[in-house]
Amino acid sequence: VKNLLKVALGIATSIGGFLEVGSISTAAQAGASYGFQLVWAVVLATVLVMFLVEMSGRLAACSGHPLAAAVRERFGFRFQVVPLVAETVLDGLVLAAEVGGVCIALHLMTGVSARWWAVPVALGAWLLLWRGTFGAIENGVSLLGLLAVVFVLAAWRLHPPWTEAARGLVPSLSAEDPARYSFLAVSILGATLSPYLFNFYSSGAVEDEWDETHLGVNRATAVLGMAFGGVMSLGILVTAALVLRPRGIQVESYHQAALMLTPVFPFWGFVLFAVVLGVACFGAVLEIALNMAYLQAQSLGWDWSENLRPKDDARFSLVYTVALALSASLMVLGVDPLRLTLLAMSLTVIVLPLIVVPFLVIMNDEKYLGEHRNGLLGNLVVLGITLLGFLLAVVAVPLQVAGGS
Amino acid sequence: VSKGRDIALGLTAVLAIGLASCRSPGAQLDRSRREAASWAASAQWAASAWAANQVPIAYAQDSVDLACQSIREERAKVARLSGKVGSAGPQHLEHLDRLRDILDPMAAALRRADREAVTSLLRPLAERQQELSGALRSADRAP
Repeated sequence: VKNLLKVALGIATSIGGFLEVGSISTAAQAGASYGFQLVWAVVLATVLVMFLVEMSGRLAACSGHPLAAAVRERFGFRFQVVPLVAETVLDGLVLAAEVGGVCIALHLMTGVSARWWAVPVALGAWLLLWRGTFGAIENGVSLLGLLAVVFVLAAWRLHPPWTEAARGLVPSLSAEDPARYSFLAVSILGATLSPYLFNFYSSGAVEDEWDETHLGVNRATAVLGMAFGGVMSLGILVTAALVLRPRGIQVESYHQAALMLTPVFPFWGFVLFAVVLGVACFGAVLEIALNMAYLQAQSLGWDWSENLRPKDDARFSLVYTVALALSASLMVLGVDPLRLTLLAMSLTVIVLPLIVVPFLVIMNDEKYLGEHRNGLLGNLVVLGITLLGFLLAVVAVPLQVAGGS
Repeated sequence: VSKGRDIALGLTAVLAIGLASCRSPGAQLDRSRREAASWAASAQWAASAWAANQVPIAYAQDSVDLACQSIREERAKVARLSGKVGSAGPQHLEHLDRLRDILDPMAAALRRADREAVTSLLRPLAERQQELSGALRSADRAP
């Protein structure tokens, strides 16, 4: 029973932690602008994230190493500098976008300008990281993220045309603004495949002292947790396709998405949207800030653990403190959170091979994984989708920038 | 090898279509019509939701203010395009001006929390949105 509870908690936290500012905004934009046409991008990204999360947990359980520490040990610090810098910059951008998401949610609920919320949000997150433990953060905030199930409920109650929605599983080009369509496909991949997720997951497994007996828990958490998370993203996409698209509303601002639940929940829809956006983004703020500290500490060989007191891993605590302060500053300066989110998500796909390729090499190394090394299928799926996403991003991102929106 | 070639061809097609859509003034005009119609619909929905007590007034004010600002930006973009898109440019500018003639008083009415004035502007706003959507549909049908 205790093991079953552990699996259930792992799955629930994975589902709750799946949605964040990127997945909410890209799925809403995709549904509003292209109906069901981008369903394939959500499904493809979910399949890839299942493989990558399972691999991260397996690495930690079999070798006792989180991802960044394993890359440093296997390839040396000089090699590690490139993915370290790339992921630090990306994490910083995504962290600022998540802080922006919480600020927008608070702005929607209170009417007080989003800029005024940046410092209190960063301070609240910092206090929780400073005082809290890994388990409290992982379980508490991620479980609150389960509120996002309202999008699935809304999509269900809107009676989607299933055949038409299923047609979206087959990738196709859109005649309507194809540059934007490709850019959104790339952004959906980037939103689901944020590199912080893998290092955070493997660091969490090390914090929770996983060993080879946890491989089953890991597989169940990765497959079921990510699959249900993907269903929530699809819930947002379908709701946007059925509510916003018929009205001709495209999502260029969070204000344009905020009423998408009201046809199903007339008096609670607006508040529910704001609460889900706020909770999902706040959970991601904690995870990303913590991951930035994990990443630096593991790459530079410092002491690290969220379960230690800050005075016992001062440099670790300093990293998340600085990261939160900088991300709040970006929001105070008035950076548009939605544009920042899309930029960060598309850059993620360009940077992803730098993180995935060394990861795959380690996952095939007997020294780390023993008999639990990757199979051919896992290697091919991960490498294939990563490279395809990279090629699409290299084409789509400059096009969107040239397109000027 | 053939799969790789297919992917390369697909990406080239995306690049070609995308570049064409980025550069074509007609495509830029379409994008502007779509965005203006989208903002008109958003403002209309937010204002009617406020009139029905479903959302706070601050949200409705923000939505209509954002719509006003976006329409101003679209107008400036379209003005730069004029001459490259024939009579469609001035016609779209006229649509944007008529939309602004509804949005500006609606923003003012929301600042006064004047529910009656806001309600009276909902219908004309919906008509302006239909006008923009109609222009977009006609452009889509044009060869």
